[in-house]
Amino acid sequence: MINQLRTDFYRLRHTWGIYITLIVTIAYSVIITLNNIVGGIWVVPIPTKILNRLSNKIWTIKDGLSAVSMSSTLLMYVFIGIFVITIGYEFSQKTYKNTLTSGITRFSFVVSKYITMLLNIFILMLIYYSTSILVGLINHRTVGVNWITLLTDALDFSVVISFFISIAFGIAIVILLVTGSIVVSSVFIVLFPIIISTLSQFVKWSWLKYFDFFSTALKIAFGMISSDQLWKYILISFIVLILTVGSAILIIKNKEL
Amino acid sequence: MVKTILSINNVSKSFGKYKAIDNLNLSLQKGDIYGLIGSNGAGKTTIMRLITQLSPLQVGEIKLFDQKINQQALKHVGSIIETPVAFEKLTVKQNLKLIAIQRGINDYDKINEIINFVGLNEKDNTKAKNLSLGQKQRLGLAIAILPDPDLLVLDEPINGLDPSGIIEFRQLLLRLNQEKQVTILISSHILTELYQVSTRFGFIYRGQLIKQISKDDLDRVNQSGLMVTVNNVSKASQIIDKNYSKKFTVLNDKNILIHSLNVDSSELNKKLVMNGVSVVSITKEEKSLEDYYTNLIGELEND
Repeated sequence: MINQLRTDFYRLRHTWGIYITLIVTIAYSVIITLNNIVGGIWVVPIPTKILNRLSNKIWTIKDGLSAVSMSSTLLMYVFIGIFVITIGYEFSQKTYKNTLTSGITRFSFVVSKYITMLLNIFILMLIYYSTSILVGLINHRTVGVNWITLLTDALDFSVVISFFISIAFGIAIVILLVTGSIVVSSVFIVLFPIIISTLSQFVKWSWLKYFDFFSTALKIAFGMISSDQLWKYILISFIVLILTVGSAILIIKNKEL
Repeated sequence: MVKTILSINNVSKSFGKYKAIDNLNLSLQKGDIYGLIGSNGAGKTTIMRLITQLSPLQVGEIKLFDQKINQQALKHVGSIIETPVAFEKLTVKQNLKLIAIQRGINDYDKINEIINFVGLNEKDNTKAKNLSLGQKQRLGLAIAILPDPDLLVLDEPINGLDPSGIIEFRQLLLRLNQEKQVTILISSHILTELYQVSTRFGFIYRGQLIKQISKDDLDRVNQSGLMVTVNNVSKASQIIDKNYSKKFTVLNDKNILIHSLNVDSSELNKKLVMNGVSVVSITKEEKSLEDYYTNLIGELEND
């Protein structure tokens, strides 16, 4: 599995797509922090106190961090490139024939692809937050909180958001294996958060909130989930992840490749 | 002692109601270049996909290097199934570096060695998508042989190659077999080419292996070799037996067939004449693998 991880990272390093994704991520963070604006698709009711704080005063570095967190919903779409390069190409260019006949088990294949995506998203999220902090520093902004809190927040947000984005990407792996189509699986990534959020607005199924992974990430980031509820979200997310990886392994084992 | 590299025992494979492979048994010995012959849809690719586990095995057993097929055993197998594949946006060298990392090969000098071996040294920095079909086949072969496999599984590897490409590819396979002792399972529709490279043949018809034959036996059955027409077959056969290690058959009171085309006919003529045998003619008799295949399938279809 380690060799497969090294292989995927080597390939990512030699693909333009990853550098474009990196530039877009940095540029997005710079634009938000520098211009004191907030973007993204909000499907989560952001606490008004945060919104008021951002609209009323000169931003601190902490405000910049909050703004990029709120705007991070759009990053899921930017990161589709990682999904396409990491596993999509294997199926569109049929190079899985080389990979799966190299002696790697189906389990290692699926898990290593998931880990590659998770690590890449995590690194990009760290860069996203670091850029915001850097832009704040260059603009001589005050920190707003103490540095340890700020850095811990940046790290926590990166972990939480990466994890929840990776679950959607994990489900997309299953769709890719079932349909064999990058287009269908990429469209799924685009539509999944929108469909879940829209559904939860209309049908009022309370359990749906546990599958609204991206909103969950933001809710956790903004402390909108109480600690006694948090474990339920995390547990269900882990179960979905395990079921997703398990299904992917089962499908690829029985698929005519 | 003959070492079995691959054995396929009672393997069947169905797609819905269609039986692609029907109770097939086949084995490859170390050093074989085994030519798999059959029409489109006969089951050649399916067998290769089963061996490389790209198709799940339903019925029967496949053993690689004396153990039930598993991922560990596949580490000793190189393959090109259907078409050679590589990451299109990576160069030849990068694609091979990728395979080296994937297979845990740390000696990166080997990449240049393999590039030279397959004759892609002028294209090592060319992206895979910009290679010609023949060059892609070479890259596919380079990817397959980089990990030093004991068994190569090649599905129609000479499709689309130009005549000089076919000749070079044949020479590559023979070198791999002779210099690196690689056992090869190869399928092709170009039977003349398969004849030149293979040491054994397996004929597949509607998912069943209907015949296995060595090249020597094929030549014997095909009566390929040197046809010697003389006035005294008894004396001539004694001379041939004494001077040549080749097998021969006395066909009638005038004709002897030496089952080899690698006999110097002028030298043979000289020896026979010097020993008092009148030589009427020495001619090459060549029946092709294609003739054999056509007869074999023809018999089955007429039954």
